[in-house]
Amino acid sequence: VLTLTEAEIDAIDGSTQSIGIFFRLATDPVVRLWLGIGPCRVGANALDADGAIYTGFGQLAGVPVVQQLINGVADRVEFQVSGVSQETLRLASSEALDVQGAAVGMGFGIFDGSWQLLGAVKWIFRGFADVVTLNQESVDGGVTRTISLSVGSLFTGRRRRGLSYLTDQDQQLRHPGDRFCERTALYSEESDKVWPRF
Amino acid sequence: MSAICDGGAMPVVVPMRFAPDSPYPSGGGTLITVYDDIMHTDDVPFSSGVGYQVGTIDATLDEAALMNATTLTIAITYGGDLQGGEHFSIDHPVLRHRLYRVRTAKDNGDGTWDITIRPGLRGDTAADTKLNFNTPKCVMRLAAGNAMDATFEGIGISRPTVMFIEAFPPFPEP
Repeated sequence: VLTLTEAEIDAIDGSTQSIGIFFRLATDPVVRLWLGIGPCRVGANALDADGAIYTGFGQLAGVPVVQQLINGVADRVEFQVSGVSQETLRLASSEALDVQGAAVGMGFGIFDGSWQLLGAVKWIFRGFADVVTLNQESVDGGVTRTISLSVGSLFTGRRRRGLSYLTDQDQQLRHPGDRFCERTALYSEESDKVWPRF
Repeated sequence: MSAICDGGAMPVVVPMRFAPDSPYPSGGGTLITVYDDIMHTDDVPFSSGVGYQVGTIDATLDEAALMNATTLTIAITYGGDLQGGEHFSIDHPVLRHRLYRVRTAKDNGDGTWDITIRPGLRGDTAADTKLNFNTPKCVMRLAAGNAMDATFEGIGISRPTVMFIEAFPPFPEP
């Protein structure tokens, strides 16, 4: 449930709104970025119990449309940053595995007229980081390096079959000695195994 | 210079050009923008004939302010009145020089001013921190790798336009 304070509703109601988009990747250390210039300190919120400082990243280029995320329609979204240094690209390449599975949060905060955050950051999308892809292209004599992070939500894998089955062999791998699945093989004859059906 | 900037990888401290808006003190009917050169203690200038230069405006932060603050109370011990639009910079501990601009200013009548600034403070700033209205400067890097390319026509004449953007840590080793 998205709860807004009176002040925040008033701020949204005005003719101009100042809204910051925040991005959090729960690796070690946590990556905290926001769409703006310079650092931004946010107060306690659902993901940062004691508040934290978000690094300005004006060029977080490819933030997917927020509406897609709220409705849960997009089962996979891609975040992009452009204009990163060669060193960053190297790190992204060599440490891509550390990112996989890390929790990703995206939220927004509402500023008042003098650019002070009115309340906690509201996290409207939570997903899990998947693969990091790198791209380097030459534009107008300069080189633009782009890092993309593919993020899946809870719905991403629902149509993909799991990598293990309820067979005795798999069950022995999971819990050696457990006999829960030892008779699974008996069901393979004279029965149709429809896989999967939602 | 272009080589030092390293295609935007290496930040440099970029000074604001002479800022006519700065609150210079007035004396003898004119604004005092700079004092006469000050010599070494034995009254000898540098070998090139010039001495030290000291800015004329003396301003400090009156109350400590937190990161992202856009409302400050400052004390101008020596200098003219603020009108809004003035640039100044603060030398932060890690970020070093950051450029700010006064948006509105209100005289409290006791030598302090309530001002609003843009952008918000880049870091927590202690009271009595010096505000540099004399030679505002900012740590910047080239906006694009080819931003300092110049085409020379005739004998070394070129009027290129350079665009800088503010640089943030981590800074590369020089």
